[in-house]
Amino acid sequence: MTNETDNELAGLIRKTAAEVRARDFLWSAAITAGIGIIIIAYGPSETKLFGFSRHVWLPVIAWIAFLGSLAVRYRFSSGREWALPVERVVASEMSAQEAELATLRLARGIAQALPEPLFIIDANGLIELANPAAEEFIGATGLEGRHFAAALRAPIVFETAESIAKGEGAKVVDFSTVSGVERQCRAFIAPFGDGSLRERIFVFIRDMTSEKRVEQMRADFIASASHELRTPLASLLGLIETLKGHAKDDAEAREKFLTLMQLQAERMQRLVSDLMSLSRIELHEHVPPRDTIDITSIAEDVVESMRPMLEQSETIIDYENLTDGDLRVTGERDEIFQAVQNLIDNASKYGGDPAMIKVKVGRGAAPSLSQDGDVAHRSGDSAAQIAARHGASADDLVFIQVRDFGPGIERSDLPRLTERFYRVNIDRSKKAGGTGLGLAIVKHIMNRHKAGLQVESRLAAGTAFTCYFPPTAASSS
Amino acid sequence: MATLKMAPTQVELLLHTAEGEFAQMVALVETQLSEAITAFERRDVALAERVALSDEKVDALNQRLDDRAFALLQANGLNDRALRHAVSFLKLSGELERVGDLAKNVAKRSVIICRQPPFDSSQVTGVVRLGRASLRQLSDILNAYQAGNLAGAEAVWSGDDDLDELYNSLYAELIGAMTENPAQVEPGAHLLFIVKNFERIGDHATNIAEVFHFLETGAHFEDDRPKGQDPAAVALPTRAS
Repeated sequence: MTNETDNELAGLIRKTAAEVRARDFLWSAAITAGIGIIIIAYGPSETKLFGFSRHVWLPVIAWIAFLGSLAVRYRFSSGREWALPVERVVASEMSAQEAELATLRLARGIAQALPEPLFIIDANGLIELANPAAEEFIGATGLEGRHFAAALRAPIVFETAESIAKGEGAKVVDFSTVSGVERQCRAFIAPFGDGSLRERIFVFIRDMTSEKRVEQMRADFIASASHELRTPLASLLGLIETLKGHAKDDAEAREKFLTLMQLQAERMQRLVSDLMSLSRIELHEHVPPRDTIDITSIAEDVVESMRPMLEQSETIIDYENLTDGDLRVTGERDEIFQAVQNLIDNASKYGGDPAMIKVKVGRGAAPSLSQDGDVAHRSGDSAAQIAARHGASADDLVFIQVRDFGPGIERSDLPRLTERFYRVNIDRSKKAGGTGLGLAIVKHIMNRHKAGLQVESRLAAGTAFTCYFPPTAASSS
Repeated sequence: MATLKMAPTQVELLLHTAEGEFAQMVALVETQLSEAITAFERRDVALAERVALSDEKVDALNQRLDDRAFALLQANGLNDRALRHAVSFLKLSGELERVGDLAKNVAKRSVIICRQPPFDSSQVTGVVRLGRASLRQLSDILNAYQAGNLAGAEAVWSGDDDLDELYNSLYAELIGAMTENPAQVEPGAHLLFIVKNFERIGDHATNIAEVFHFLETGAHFEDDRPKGQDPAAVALPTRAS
């Protein structure tokens, strides 16, 4: 296509130049003819010049004059008279191209500025353009030139794109992404332009996760709320029955039952509030946090805010910052605060009696339990895995570790700790007022931050929970 | 402005096409596994049946990739790397095809399980969790492959023990549940197979990591892979009397 316009332009320039030359020649011819006519008309008829008769010298003079006029034209003109028309042609051509380029730039600018992912794919399935939203959607940069199927691993989308490249009309398909947090999306796929040659395919993606999640969450919430509230409600009803029945006039029993009822009611209250915060976190788990926060200050704040409560149960808590600077990560302060709070709360409940808790923050791989003695069992995401997922070095990760020195957790329980309502020891958990949701909440918060939660434990030596955060984009580059 | 570009050689073209087809296969298998897990979790028979059917496409792509790899091997002037690529495509498509088969099997068993009374919910969440963990391993290694990230391959390779532990925990729990209630033996057996399939998928992910490591470096992983407890050695819960 560009070749054709190039040829056209060259032809146009050639034609214009030829016209200018022809006009020039005509002018020169006219001037010399004029001189000749003047001499013929007014010169003496038998005049001799240097012994030559008129039919000899007259053409000679005319020829010299012709040369002279040509010389004047070629030598003393700047050439502008000839160049101008060509320049005009070139300029008009250029401005047309400039306008086209400006339109292209505008189109590109719009594509780049779009808040939703947009891909333009060529006929071979290679990505020609991916806007920043698309790069964020995929979680990688430098997508251009890669296979579309390699970037967006959704079969239905590239299969549809293929069929459109073969001549089908625009289509809308629903798909879900698999890597990381699952997202439900809708893709609008259309041929680019209206030519019969389908050189480019246009793929526009809308993230519908929020809409779908609300439905799913509501169903999940109702299911788990009704399931988990059944037991405390049943025991409440039982207690009320007893109070109405034979314990009616027994002041001592009444006192005892009322205390039990209060405990059950408080348990339900905790359960509902935990379920609600879990739902809230799950609801926007697919929305990456934007703020930059300092892990050290959060850890300090949590420890300080919990200290009075922990002192009541004679728990010893010790905070240590293993680096000298602050530890910045991209995250949401409130959520990370809650995660750390849950971890410390857990450690105080299950970390021995009285519990001793060590909270450490730092950079790189966290101190491992297996460093100080025998083998410890490990589960969850290791520093290397989190680093690899982000293409960063494990030394750049930021961690916060909460360790207790309690009885430890059985190897078979370790991998399942973060399941909701999974309890290692149901009696103990109920006595301590656990809802079975604390670690599930931590896990979901970590998921949202694309961070990892690792558990290490050794029987009779304690358990360490470590959260690994990826470095902020600014600090890793 | 057209930039001067060397015309791609025949080998480069072949590699490029194979790379594109491999990317398609990756996406297909990954989606198949993810949908199989979802179908199992939500007891969605229609989705499970769809997953079982989509295996044909994976097989077709597997054959096509094999053909490409043979065409590559027959081409003249293969350098070391191109040769490794050709062999890797043969191996990788085989691994992915196996993962696809396992996902299909999960889907088929889900259809059967859906027709039976629901199993205890805590075990079902455990199975789904193992499934998602295997999917995570698979996605991680495929991402690492596409980004050329060797550290990622190593992380996946050494991260498989987590899956083994989860598998062992579930195995013991399922056997325990089946011992307690004979009515749960049949669905329990299917769950055991599903759990085993997920554990196998994790193994395939580590195999892919090994092939990828070989492709990039020409050498194999050196240390021994950390392994979870031997399933045969897992202590089964004693029956509550």
